[in-house]
Amino acid sequence: MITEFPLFMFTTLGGLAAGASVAAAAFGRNGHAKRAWLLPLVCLALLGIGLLGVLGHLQRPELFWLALSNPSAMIAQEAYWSIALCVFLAADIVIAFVRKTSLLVLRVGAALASVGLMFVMANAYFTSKTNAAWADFSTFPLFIVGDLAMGFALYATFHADKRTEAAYAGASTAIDALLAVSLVAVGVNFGTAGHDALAFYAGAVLAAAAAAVDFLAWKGKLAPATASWVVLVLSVVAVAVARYAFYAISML
Amino acid sequence: MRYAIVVDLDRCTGCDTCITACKYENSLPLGVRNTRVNVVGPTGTFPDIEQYWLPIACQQCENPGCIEACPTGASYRDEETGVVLINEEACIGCRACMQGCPYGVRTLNPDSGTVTKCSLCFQYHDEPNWKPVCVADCCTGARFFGDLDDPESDAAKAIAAAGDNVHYLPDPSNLKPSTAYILSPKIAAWQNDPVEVARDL
Repeated sequence: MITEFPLFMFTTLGGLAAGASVAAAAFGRNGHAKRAWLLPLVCLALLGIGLLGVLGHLQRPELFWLALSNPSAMIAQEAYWSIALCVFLAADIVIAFVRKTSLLVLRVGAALASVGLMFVMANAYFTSKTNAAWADFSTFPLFIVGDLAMGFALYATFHADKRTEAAYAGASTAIDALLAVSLVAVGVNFGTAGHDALAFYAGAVLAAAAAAVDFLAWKGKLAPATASWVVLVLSVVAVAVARYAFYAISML
Repeated sequence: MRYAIVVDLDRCTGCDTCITACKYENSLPLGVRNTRVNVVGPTGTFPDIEQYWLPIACQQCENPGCIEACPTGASYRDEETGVVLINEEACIGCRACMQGCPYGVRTLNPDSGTVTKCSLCFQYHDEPNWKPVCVADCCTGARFFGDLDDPESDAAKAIAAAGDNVHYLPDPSNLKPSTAYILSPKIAAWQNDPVEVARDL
């Protein structure tokens, strides 16, 4: 078990929720108005589990609230954006449950909080002074593109009909392809720094496979519902494998 | 004020008295150290080889990465003395400060669940002859302590006397470490990218 496993859980589950929130704001929830609350509920649950996991990273979790004290600290910034995302998701759930539809302003608010969270998650490692391999620009796509890839895939499991729409299908295919390229870049960076890069290349293969499934579903060669679940599994495993290797070089 | 330690590597023999004194003074458990002594080298080609000892503790940076990284404010700078300290009451053991320090001088104390580092024996700072135990106990007289802004302090005098032989640890993040090292070419050439060996004691 890597020492940073709680942070791995937080950035993976929280990133999944953030990416799905961006997709929900970009593509809406048409056709599932009666269950418009379900996707934000799943996102809130994922983020909540991730945040609870973070407590496992602290030696004194009973004092976790002190982590909000220093705004310049990356952990504090992650907490601020997480709280903002939780607030927007919770409001979205309540409104969607009562009105049977969600408000665009809440979805956009959640998306903005998600973008902020994804950025600070990456920046927390980019600004590391102990790991040169982390302090590389490839860290940004590892987190941001990875979160979007997972989140777009999760969104499609609720809205499989989007798989044949050019806007979503094109975006999803492009993001998964970009994830594959990004993971290769991270692998090259890690390899250059003398670390094991195999997991990143394995992740890149999985991401490329996800892009291929995206494309086939877009062109009607695969059933949208099946493709949605396959892409979700491929993208989540691709990101998880890569991030596990990323955290494995921690000096803690 | 900028209190810091100056280490004369021309005199350091790598005896580890500083480590022992620090562990006793601060009651540090097994495996936890606030200071360590690394080996730099050997460098060169036989028979022209060089090696020196490099004691490393908190560098008392002017722009401490640890304070910036600490989410709780537990890592802070004492306004009166300029010493970078840890408020154990506020430390949640997240180890973000350890990621913020490129010198690896912070350690998690498993007994307390908090991070520990050299405080320049701040518990004695009210005493007129405040001196860290590693400085007081150094058997070769290789350590000097004092306010770098006070030209009459031992540390400032040692730096002034060393001339061009004063060095600092590499600083790619512009943290401006205050701990100074004196090493003259007659002993060894200073290595900015050292072949460094951390020893298990």
